[in-house]
Amino acid sequence: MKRCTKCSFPETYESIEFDDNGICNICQQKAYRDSQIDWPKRKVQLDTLIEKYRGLYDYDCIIPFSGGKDSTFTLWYLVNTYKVKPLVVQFNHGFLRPNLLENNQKTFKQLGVDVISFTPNWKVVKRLMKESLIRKGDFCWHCHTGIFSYPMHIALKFNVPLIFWGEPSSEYTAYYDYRDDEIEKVDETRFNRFVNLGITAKDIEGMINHDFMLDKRDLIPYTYPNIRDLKKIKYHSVCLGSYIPWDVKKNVAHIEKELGWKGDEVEGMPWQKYPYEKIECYMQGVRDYIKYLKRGYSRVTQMTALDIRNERISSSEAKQLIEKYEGKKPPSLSLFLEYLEMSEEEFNNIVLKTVVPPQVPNFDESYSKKTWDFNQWYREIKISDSQ
Amino acid sequence: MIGILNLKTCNLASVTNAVYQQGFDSLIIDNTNDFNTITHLIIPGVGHFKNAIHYIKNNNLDKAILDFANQKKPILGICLGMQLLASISHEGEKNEGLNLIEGEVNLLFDNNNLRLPHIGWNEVNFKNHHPLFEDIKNHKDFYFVHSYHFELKNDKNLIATCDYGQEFSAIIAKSNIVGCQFHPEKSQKNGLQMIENFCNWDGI
Repeated sequence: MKRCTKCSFPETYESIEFDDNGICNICQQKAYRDSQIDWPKRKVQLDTLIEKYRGLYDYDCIIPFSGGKDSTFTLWYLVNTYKVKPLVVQFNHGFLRPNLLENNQKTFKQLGVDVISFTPNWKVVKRLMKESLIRKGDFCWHCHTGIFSYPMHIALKFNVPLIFWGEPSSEYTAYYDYRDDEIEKVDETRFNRFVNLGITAKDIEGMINHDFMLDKRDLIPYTYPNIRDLKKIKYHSVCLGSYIPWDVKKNVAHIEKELGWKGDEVEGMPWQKYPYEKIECYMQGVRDYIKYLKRGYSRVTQMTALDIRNERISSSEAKQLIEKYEGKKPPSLSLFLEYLEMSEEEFNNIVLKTVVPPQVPNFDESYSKKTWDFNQWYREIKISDSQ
Repeated sequence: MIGILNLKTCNLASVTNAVYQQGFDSLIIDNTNDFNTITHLIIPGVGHFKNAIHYIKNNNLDKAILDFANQKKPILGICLGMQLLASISHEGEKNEGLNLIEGEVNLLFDNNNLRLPHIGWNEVNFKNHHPLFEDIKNHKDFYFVHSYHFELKNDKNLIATCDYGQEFSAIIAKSNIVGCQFHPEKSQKNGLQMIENFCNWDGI
């Protein structure tokens, strides 16, 4: 497997390219970001943007919010620095963890904000997970699309045109390249470019309606709203990280100090080293495991790569962490199989079809450690079973 | 309300759809009364200069357009719609235009072995700032279909150029009036952005 000579991202990484020195485009973007982008000017653009919309609507902006480090920082930063009145919109994918819910409560109460939390129909979610796993080897379609389209529906319903997301995608992929020196618009183009895995709600309707009692309206939360309607309210949907340079470690330090935000154990991760990444979903372990099977790397590689680019870790330490933690089978796999009513063999056969060459998966890895809250995660046991 | 002038030969649907998609409402302009309800006027263009200008004059639309222009309301001419803004066109035979931006319309250069009409995507190079360029980068491609081009009398009306063997006017402007030789309604992201910018423009 060819790897970036600097951050060690493999050739199976989405949107990756290498230069003559074997350095990947994600590393090059980051170097451009730090040396070429006029951040003071971007900050002035942010000031102007916020003032343009302030006080004109029921809310100054919408902040889509999972409760992870990025959206928590975004909310804290905008409320704290700009004193905006936001409407916080949470799309609950169905797997929010206890520590995250506690973090949410602390954040909302301390900042004093209005919040809408939306949880879609679990039976529909399960069917969508199964379909996108089979089609793409990525069961998170409902989450990708719901997170990015549902808040846009709320923007329309409440007539709030300004929407602030957190981290720009240029931080981790090259679908949007910092070197274009543009503000990444979080719009339908971006949604269709990579968020929705190339599957629209209309597509998936046709894929599942032969065996699932689907009400067409069930898919509204996953459908990107009509572009004309968004244009009519003069929507402006952008990432805070396009206006201030995104520094995950610093951001986490801020929310820990200011809000008492707490990290968590995540399956397959070194808990001491990276307690702040992807703490919001108890299916994260399965997601990372599939990624490892398909592409030969996982979350540990992504985190160490970020630290290498920021010169916060040596490549030998990164290598040790990757070898020790990556690729282990997550305990949550049993829950996942239970939800989808699937055997591990069926699961392996599906994933095998979506493997990205030259990766060759090994399905016989040992299990990673259970996290402290494993026993609190939802089990698909019917009441009739326990009687 | 965005008025779209119906010249009977034009690509009304694509312009109407583009305006609609950008969140604006439009009115197809068939007679002079319709001018009372619109804030912006788009003169789309596909066809022959002579037929178009005769249709405009025979239906007294020329006077309505000039009145509209004098009220400092924004006007956008697209392709033939831009050429109609000229003083004179030599397409087919010599005909007088609306004379809203001084200049003459002539056949594109025939000295460089390039095929006419000039069809396809080509780079547009900004020469002066204009509100139409908001959120659009310089040197982006737009979609052209034309054999004639606008030769300006005053260089100060030149806003952007394009090169087809030789430089020609891609965008021209004079106060509240602007014309583009390419078809923004057919030019994807940047073209639609330009239409949106026009619809948001107050003409100043």
